[in-house]
Amino acid sequence: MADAADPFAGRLAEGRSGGRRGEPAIVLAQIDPPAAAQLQIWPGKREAVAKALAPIGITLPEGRDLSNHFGRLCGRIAPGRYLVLTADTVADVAAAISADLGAVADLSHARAAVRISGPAVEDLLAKGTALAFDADAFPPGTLAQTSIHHMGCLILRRSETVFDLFVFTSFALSFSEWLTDAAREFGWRTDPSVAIDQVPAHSS
Amino acid sequence: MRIPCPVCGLRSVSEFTYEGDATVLRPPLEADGDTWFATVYERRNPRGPHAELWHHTQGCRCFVEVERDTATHAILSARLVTPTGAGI
Amino acid sequence: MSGYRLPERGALIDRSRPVHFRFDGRPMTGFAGDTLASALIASGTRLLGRSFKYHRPRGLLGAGVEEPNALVTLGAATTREPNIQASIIEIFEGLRSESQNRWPSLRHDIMTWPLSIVNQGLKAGFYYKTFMGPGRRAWDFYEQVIRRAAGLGAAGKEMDQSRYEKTNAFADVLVVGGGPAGLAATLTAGRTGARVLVVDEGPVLGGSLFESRATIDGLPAIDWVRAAVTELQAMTNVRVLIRATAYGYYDGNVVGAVERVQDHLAERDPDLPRHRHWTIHAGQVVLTTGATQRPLVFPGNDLPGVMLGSAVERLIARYAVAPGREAVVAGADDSIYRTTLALVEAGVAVRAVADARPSPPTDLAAPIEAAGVPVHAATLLGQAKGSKDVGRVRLSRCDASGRPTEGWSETHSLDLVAVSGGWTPTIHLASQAGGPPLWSPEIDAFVPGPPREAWTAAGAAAGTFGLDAILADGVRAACSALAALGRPTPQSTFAASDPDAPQMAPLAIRATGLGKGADKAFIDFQNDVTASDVKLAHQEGYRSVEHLKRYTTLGMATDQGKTSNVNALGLMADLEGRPIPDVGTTRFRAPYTPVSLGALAGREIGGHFRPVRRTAMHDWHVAHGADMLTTGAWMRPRVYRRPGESVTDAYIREARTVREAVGIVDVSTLGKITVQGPDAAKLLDRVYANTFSSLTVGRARYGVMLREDGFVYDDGTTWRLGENDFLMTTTTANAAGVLARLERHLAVDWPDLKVAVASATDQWAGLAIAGPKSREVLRTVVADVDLSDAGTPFMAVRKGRVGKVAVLVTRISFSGERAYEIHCGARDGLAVWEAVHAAGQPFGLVPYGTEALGTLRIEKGHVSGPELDGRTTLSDLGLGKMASTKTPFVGRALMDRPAMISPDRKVLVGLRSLADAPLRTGAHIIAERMPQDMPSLGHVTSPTFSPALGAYIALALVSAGRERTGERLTVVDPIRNGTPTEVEVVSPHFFDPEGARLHG
Repeated sequence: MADAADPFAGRLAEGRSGGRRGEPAIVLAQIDPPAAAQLQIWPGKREAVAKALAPIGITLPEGRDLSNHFGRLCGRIAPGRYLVLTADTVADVAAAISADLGAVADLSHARAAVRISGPAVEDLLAKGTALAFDADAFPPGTLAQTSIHHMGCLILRRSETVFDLFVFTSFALSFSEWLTDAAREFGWRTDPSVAIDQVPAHSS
Repeated sequence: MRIPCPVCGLRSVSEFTYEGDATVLRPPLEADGDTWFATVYERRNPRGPHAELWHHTQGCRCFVEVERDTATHAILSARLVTPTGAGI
Repeated sequence: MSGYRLPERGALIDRSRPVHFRFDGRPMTGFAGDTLASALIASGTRLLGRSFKYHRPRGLLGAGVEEPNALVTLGAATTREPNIQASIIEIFEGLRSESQNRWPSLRHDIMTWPLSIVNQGLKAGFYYKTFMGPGRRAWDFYEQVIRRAAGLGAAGKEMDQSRYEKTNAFADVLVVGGGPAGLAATLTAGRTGARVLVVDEGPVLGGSLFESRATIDGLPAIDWVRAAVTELQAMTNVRVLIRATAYGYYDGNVVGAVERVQDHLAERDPDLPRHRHWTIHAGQVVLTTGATQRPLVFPGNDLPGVMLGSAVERLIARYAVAPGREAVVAGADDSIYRTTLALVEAGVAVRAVADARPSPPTDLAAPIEAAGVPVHAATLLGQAKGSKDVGRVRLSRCDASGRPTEGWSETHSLDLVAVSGGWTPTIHLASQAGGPPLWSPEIDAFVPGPPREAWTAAGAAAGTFGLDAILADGVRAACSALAALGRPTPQSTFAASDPDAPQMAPLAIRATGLGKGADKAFIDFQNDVTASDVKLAHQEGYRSVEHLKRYTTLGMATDQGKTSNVNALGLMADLEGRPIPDVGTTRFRAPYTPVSLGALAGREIGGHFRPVRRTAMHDWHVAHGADMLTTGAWMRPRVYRRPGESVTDAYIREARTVREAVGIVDVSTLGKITVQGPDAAKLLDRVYANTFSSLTVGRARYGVMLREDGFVYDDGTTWRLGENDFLMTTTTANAAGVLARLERHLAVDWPDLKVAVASATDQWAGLAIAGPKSREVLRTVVADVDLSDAGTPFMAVRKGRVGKVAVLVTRISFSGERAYEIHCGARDGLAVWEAVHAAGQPFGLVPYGTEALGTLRIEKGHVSGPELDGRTTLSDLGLGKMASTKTPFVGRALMDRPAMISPDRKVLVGLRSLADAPLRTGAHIIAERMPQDMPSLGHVTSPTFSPALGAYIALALVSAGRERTGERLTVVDPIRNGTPTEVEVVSPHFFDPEGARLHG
């Protein structure tokens, strides 16, 4: 049995398929599950929360942007609602936010993540979601929430051709099955797992 | 059909769940049975522009009030339903 | 043997690549690029099928998707696909094709109806008249025979093994149709940098330009097409989809298209789909879908060898195929002259041109006459004759409105008739997404009505004819689309010089079909609807086109009346003495052409049909012999069967072990929602029928939620982890619904509440450990928790550790035994499960599944999904006392309506089988052993065998059930042939009603 802490149960540990047109056009890498927290800010408390988070290196982003402060990511998932993703811990987030400012729910175990890159990445994702991927509609450094093959999915666009996808942990295996099936025509291979704060080296 | 979510942008209707007639507001829980009966069961069902609530279930999970023409399915407007001051 | 390959021409075929295929088993040869139809006609085969009702011999009528006759079955076994138009299928090495609706063979079809029978028999409404009413019995008898005799191809019976996929595309401008107007639009929009997607149903872009003798921007039309395609391929902002049919136009400018990715290939790539469905999200749509030529309605017009002029031109230009040697060309518009020229230049002997109009255009007629072909004005094609194909035609005169007149006639022997009744714009998509089509008398056809989505029609689809005008219209449409998108509009022109310059000037000559021989004048070839059928329908009072369509089946089936609609409407209008616009037209519906079901399903088949959810312990369950069951989206262990055990044996053993020792069950699937914030308790008080604000930190409480209409919705325990911090659990089934409800309350109903909710179902893995030895097991494996009854009383929530893993321990029981739940982060779930499992071995611990879980809760009378069926109230379930009398809650106002407190309501009771026989879910309960005339008193909701009682028991909902305690009733299950079983009504708390074991 694969490592119990691997929500993909080894399915993305190593693999390769297709690629009959040469080098696989899709590269999959499991993301070491990051610590995650959902932060809800009470109305009128945004500034106070921003101040409380500054010392622990978390910046509240604007719009759909993803703030990235030395690998601690924060994205707005709804007005007043943010998701913090970080390789270390979110305990300091909960500690920083008092009950009069907002609420913090630790969701570190709730999501599995995979990084998808390669020249065919947009064509691959288009099979699962009706999301426009051109740079105007979905620029690098932003996030989108959608569903892929009926599974809720948070997508971080880390660069032009690198996407980090988060799904609920219990769907991880179903999601990897969909992913590797949809990637057949492009050919895919896996890279060793990466940490959420490992920023893609190149963008294409 | 596509719904312009004020948070996420224009999205396929398959990401949303219909949550009913937006013109029907819930009375206080203490309200009497007749008031609640009207809330739960009575609908105008108009032909033409109509305010509807849609939940962006597979997106930001916000509630969107969509003005939609029930005869043509044209979407005329969409606004976020959100607690006062939460637009932050 | 009429058709043959021409030595020159053939823009689409590659003569260096012969392709071998079979038709009805016979080996044939064509060239790469041929359609099945062109290859068959080139080899002299023109009998391609038998008609739907009458089994009349049929050949090729059209050249594309309008083809009504030439339907074949392709492939065999798992690839078998019926009713494919020979005119669109591209041949490949090894292709197998078969003709349809004939027996024993296409040439000798003994089911061909003699016309004498046709005349009396299968007219419009035949089935209704013969078999409805008193004839209904006869239908039962004849149905088998008729179904075999009439029809199209038969679908395969084996599972289709092909791969199908679905995908999405986004475009600023979607151009549907890559003919001259579409190319002009695509080039114009593409050159501005806009994202353009152009789809064309054919294997190449260019459309009618392949048959054109024109030049565009100084280049021969085909060269201009090639240059345009090269330019488009170099544009990264332009995507070209060929072999892709846009079949449906949906709300919000969403267009559905199916791309036939590999149908034309002999060697298919298993990693690629056969068909790919495209959901295209477009800013603006340009509809350049072209036009379809109409046939003429005359007796014998369905004989093989009678073809549309456009089909003849296409066979010659694209495939270098001459479909005959001696021809007559007849029609009512200018395009007959272009067809004639194409035939003459291909070396076909054209005996005459019959132009129905009183004064044919002399500039077009002159070169024809110069070539020695007589042109007859005011002349109709009166009749065609032949046995298996056309052999001769009779021409006769008509008046200025196209009605036949007596006098002159002329007969020609021939093997080819090319006809044109004018052109019908292809307005299907425009009609799907627009107002009613408008009648254009200039072109004698409907043009698109007002748009209801963001589209512009251009070119022939919009009723614009003449190449120069079509190209300009394509540019105009692209510019208007760009302007609507707020983008700059370019200056763009394409200059065409077309020697044929067909100006549309058709004469409506449909009524010719109504004279002698109207029963052989076909309007709808695919459905065998003749002019006399339309006349009969009219006589019988069918005045609405919608009724006409349904009575005669006109315009139905795979071609959806592409060649027949206008002719039928015109005929109907003539009979009515009303103009066509008054008669109206039927609205077009998707799909424009048939869509494979596989493409609609995509990969949502088999194991991919619906994604499933697995708990952290999933693989452990499988490795330990669990039968996994899907409950909702979750995979759960049903039983852990040991060798030789049945499911029943296993759950009885598991349940008994829990009552006697200890067991563990995976409860990770419970819905969990964080409810946090200063108003969290206030929210819970409102959504639960019972109070939560009085719950102290470190305690859990069972709660029940109602719907607004007062019926029970969901239940579960909610734990107070901190002053402002609750963890709510829901049933597995309602987790998503409860979260959405809380979100709605917070966003819409009570926006003043400061509460945050989040789904935490996937955050936690959980196990329940139940049984008299559960505490002893926990003492060996859980640290940092005082497990004494004082330290962890019933309904306490404690933080502790299992090894290094932080856990929550809650003392909750679903089984009635002393029991605890342990929850931890999902990634640690397996480690904790294994630790508890190992610690329990000295105590006889077993894992148990959902069957035993169900048995244990039924023995205790705990309600679950089958009882929370949306029709039960709190008091029905014996929970009436839970409702708060102080704080109002959702459902309070409507829960006490008269019908909901009626004394004869069905309420929760226990049933104990008096026979040694199982009870079944859904079986009804009656007072005596006589199912007839006996009202049902209720039904069985949750049956099981109770190892604790040694009896078959069940929870049930029974009318006035509590008053029936001790009564003997009968459970009947007539639908499933169940044996009536006598039962005794008992308390639903079958086992340990005092609850002593909770503390045991």
